[in-house]
Amino acid sequence: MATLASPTRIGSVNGSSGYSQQLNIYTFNSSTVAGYYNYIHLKTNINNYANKIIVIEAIGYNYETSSAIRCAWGFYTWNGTLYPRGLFNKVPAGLEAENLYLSTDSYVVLRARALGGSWYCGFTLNAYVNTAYYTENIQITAANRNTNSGNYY
Amino acid sequence: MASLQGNTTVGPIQRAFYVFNTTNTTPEYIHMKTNIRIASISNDFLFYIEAEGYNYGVTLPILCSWSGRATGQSGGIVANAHYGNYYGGMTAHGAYKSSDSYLVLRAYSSNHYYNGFILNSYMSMPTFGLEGYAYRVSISAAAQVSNSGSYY
Repeated sequence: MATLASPTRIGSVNGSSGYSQQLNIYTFNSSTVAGYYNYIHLKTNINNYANKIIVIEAIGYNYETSSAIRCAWGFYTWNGTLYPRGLFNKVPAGLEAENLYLSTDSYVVLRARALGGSWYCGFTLNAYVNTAYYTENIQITAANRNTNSGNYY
Repeated sequence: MASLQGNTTVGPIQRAFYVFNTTNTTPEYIHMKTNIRIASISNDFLFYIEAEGYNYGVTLPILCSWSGRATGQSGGIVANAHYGNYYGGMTAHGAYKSSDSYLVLRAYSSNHYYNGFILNSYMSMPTFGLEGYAYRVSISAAAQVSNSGSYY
C-alpha cells in the first residue's frame, strides 16, 4: 500500500513541469443547510491566456439527493477566451457540471448545480490535461456553495 | 517511472484497494464484504465505491458504483443508496448489512467469463458519525454465488 500526498501528479512528458493526471486537486464537502444551496462555484488558477486543454472531473456522493456524483467539465482557454468543450453528466441528480465562466479577474470558474440540494454532499476533483500545451499544475483557489446561478467570482 | 502497489491512497481516494477476477461464467452475483461496520449508532458512513475493469464474457468495460449511507441506526441499514452503472460490463446490483453488521456490495452480470476489476473508493463526503471522511475501505471476503439477496 502506498500513501501519496495530495495532489498526486502522474505523467510528466519530456521533462515538462506539467502532468497529464492530477488526482485529488481539491476535495469539497458540506454538511450544512438542506434544500437551499443549489450551486457550487469552484475557481481555478487557469487564466484566460493559459492556452491549456483540460478536463476536471468530480466523483463523490450527494446524500440529500441519494445520488452518486460523476461529472466533468471539458474546456480550454486561448488568447483571452474560455472555450467550453463538453460537460459530462452521468448522474445529474447527484451533481451537474452545469457551466463554466471567467471570473472578474479572468480565471476559469467551474459551476456545479445540485438542483435537489447539496446537504451532506462531498466530492473529489481530478484533472486530466493535454500535456502538449501544459506547463503548470491545476489548483482550486476558492470555492463557494450558494444560490447564484450566474457568475459568483 | 513509479510502480505502486495496490491500495494506493491520495487523500480520501483509494485506488485498487481490492482486485477480483474470475473465469467462471456463472453464478451471476458477486458479493464483497467490506470493513465498514454498522453495528451501533456511532457507525455512520457516507460512501462511494466503484468497480473498474473489463468483463470479457459480455465484451464490455466495467465502471459501476455503489454509494449511500451505511449506518448503525435503525438496527443497521443501507439508506439513500444509489447504484450507478456506466459502462455495462457489470452492474452494481445492491448493498446490504451482513449478519455480523458489515456493509456488503453486490454486483451482477449474466456472464462473468474472464471478468476482472479493481475497486476504488472516494470517501470525500462529510460524516454523520465518528468515522467516514477518508476512511480506508477493505474487503474481508468475496464470493461468486447465485444469491441475489443477502449472502453474508
